Amino acid sequence: MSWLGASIIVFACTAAGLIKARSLTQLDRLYSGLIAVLGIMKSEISSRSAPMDEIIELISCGQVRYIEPFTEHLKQGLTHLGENSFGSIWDGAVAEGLRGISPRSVLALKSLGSTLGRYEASEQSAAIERCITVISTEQSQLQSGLCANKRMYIGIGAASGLMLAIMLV
Amino acid sequence: MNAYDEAVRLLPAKTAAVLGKEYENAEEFRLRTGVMPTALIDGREIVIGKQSVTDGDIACVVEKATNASVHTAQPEIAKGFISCRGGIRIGVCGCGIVHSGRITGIRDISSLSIRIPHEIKGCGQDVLQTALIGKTDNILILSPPGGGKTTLLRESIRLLSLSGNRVAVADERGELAAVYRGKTQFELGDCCDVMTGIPKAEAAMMLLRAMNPQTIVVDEISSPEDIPAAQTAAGCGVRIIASAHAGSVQELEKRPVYKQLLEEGIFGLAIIIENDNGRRHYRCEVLP
Repeated sequence: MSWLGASIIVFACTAAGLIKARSLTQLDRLYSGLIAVLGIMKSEISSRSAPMDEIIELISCGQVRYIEPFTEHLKQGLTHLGENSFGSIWDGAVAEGLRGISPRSVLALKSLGSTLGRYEASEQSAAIERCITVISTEQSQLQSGLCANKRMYIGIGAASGLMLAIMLV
Repeated sequence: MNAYDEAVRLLPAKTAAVLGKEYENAEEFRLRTGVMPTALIDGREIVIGKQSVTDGDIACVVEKATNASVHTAQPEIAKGFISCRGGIRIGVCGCGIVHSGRITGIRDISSLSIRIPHEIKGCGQDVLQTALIGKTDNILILSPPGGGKTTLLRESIRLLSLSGNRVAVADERGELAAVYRGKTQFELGDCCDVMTGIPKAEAAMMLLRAMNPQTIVVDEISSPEDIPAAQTAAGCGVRIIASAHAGSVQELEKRPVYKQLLEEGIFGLAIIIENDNGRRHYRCEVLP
């Protein structure tokens, strides 16, 4: 039984490490999805001057993975435009739909939210481009240490599990 | 949602909250920064509530009116208005942005005029039935400014369209059809094609080439550039219906653009709108 218990502890701690490692991969994909969405917004604004609700509908139908909570919050929030400003709707969607992104990314997105829908197309495109640059930088930093960090978390998980199991057994 | 409700939706919440039934006949809501908001009723501005309009209120209305998409509304804003659902048109005043002699936008918006349309179906029925149905004359609708030309022109479109006539509308300022997101906000019948936001001369030529119209309608032929389009339409056998600022045919003849069109015999009939203590009267006159 004690061996069974020890195995469970090791397995659980290793699984926790794996989950953390997986969350890094998901964060990388979230950044990729966010950059893709911002790219679509920039194209739609600069080439078609498409209105914001059409752009958000297009993005949500495009099923860019990992970004669904963000676009869903935006869609819901737009139905209350007037009660709330677009900037606050955007900030809410960032807070609720993009959990885990870096503070720099959050700041860049909030800065973008204060610009979107308020100025002519060229200015908004430039603002989106600046935001994409910041988020791309954050993603690059994440990617540079991604493999090593994933191995580290899995290793820490497994090692913690073993140590705990040894102590308890 | 009717046009009045849509106009109220656009107002700042603090202003909309104090509106009572007495404002339901308002023609416009006016918002000016630092001043109390007003409603235009029977030609008089009536103050609404007790709180003056702020910069934030103006920004809020613009955001609602454009659906957080100023970039989409930019071409209209550069011309001084924003078109909204329900045929509502918001006049915009502020500081113009000029690049290379061209107005590209308006910033520091200081006042807004939310105009509520009142579609009057059935106006001028007798004279329109006489002048339109079964006839082929090109028609000019005349009245002084604010006399009801656009309303009568819209009714002409509707009647012709309902009778199966293919009507093409060169709606440069979006006042005839009030197209919003691809849908006309006024009822114009099933046989109507609308080109909006394009200078009327170009729009008329595009419609002639591509939409095979039987009738072309333009609101106000006013500049020499519009004459070739009218001549081409007449030459193609397409009927033209247009409006003009003039109280009478004699007044019309004094305007160079119309003098030329009348001399060429482009228009055969005029419908003159006369205002008699608030009541409109319509009469036909054969043009020389």
